[in-house]
Amino acid sequence: MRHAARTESLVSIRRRRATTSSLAEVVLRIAGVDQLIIDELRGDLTEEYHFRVTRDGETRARCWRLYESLRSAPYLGLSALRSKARHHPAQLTAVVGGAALAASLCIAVRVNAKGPPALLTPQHNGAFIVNSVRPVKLWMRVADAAGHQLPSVSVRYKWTSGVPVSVSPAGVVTCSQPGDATVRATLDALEASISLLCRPVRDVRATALMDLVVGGDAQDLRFEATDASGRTVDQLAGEIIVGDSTIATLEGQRIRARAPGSTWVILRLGDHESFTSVHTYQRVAQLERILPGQRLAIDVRLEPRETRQWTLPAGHYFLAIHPLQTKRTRPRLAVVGATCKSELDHFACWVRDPATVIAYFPRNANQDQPTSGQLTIWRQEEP
Amino acid sequence: MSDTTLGTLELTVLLSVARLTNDAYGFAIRRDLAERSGRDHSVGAIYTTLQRLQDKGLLTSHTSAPLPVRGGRSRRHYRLTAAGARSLREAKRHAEAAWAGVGSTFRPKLG
Repeated sequence: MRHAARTESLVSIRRRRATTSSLAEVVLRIAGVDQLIIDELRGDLTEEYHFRVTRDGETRARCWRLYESLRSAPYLGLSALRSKARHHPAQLTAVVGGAALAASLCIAVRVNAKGPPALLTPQHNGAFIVNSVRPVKLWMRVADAAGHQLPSVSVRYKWTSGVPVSVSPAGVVTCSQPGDATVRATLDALEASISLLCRPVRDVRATALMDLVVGGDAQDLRFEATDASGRTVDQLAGEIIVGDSTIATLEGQRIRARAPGSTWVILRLGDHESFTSVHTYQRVAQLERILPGQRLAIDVRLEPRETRQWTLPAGHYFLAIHPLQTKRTRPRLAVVGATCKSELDHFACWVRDPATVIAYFPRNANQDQPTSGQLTIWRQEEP
Repeated sequence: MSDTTLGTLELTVLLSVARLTNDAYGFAIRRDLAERSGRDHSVGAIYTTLQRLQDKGLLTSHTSAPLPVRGGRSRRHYRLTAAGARSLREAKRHAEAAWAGVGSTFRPKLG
């Protein structure tokens, strides 16, 4: 009889509590904490809360209850997990696996979901440079509202104004003469305008060999592109390739030395390409001796009518002097006692007996300011 | 010899239940531990420990009748089982064996 009364009492308490469940209780129940423990815990918290209200006041008691609930949560969660793992391992695996799968799916869907096209933008701020006289395909960037890239095959193109240019609906253009044209690109309701800059190039050539010093400034690549009339074309869109990036690397249209050595650079523009070699040197303060295979650079400062000279032992050399100030008199170079060939401001010399390399201030220069330059010497490996 | 290994908190909770006898329920156990050890264990820590001790068969519990006050609640009271009492005796014996030989000459160095 007593047992029956107690059971009834418990049921009524549970019913009453169920209707006034706090969010924390719901969370604990979902986490798998036993309902009996939740009830006991709640009862204990309430009992101690009333005790603390009497002793410390309501505000402090509330703070204590919040603090106590927060620091109890990890114990209860872990205990529930441990209990589930022991008594219902399959259920726990299913719940954890399901949650992980759902989270992964949500992330994947969120990341990969692509909407309809919302952006149609031309590359390079709307200007498309064509240096080829052969057909070239125009390209537009298509994206949805979230920025996901979409295929651009459905974009349609049409010439609207400017020099006559053949434009196919698929965007294949042929620039037979220089001039500017405007092309309209459309995709469903999206529309964009492209400035087509026809700059056909007939020839590309390197204008100088490139000598760079490790640790020095990057230099502009020295190429010249010309059109059918021989005029320089300065609006270019192409590709630059460096042969060995351990020797030199590109920084936009400039090149920087990384280590002493030799490499090459190819510039591809339209239907043409050009090649140049790049030599890189190690800077030294004094040039006392140079070993086979070494590539050294030394700064040279010359007063008017001054000369400086160095002795070169037998061997094959590649030499040049580069002015450091373009507005000043350019320092000159001479090699005495060697057989040399001059090409593109460089000397290729064969020294049988010790020879002398001389840097000098030109005699006929009408200037009283000192000049400075950089002497680069590459002593080639003995054959 | 019992093969049940007790953690520090499990041991202190068991001792508290043994000490409180008929008045061993959550709030009372927590207060007892705080008074004796000076440590303020969270309600969650105490209840998960009590649950674990029950799972190990060292404690048993029953729900009391509602308190004779308005809105009075039922309390879950805990009691040592025979296995729980055996575990306490084992723990005491282990502790004594471990301390044997240290004797009164032991002076812990502080700081």
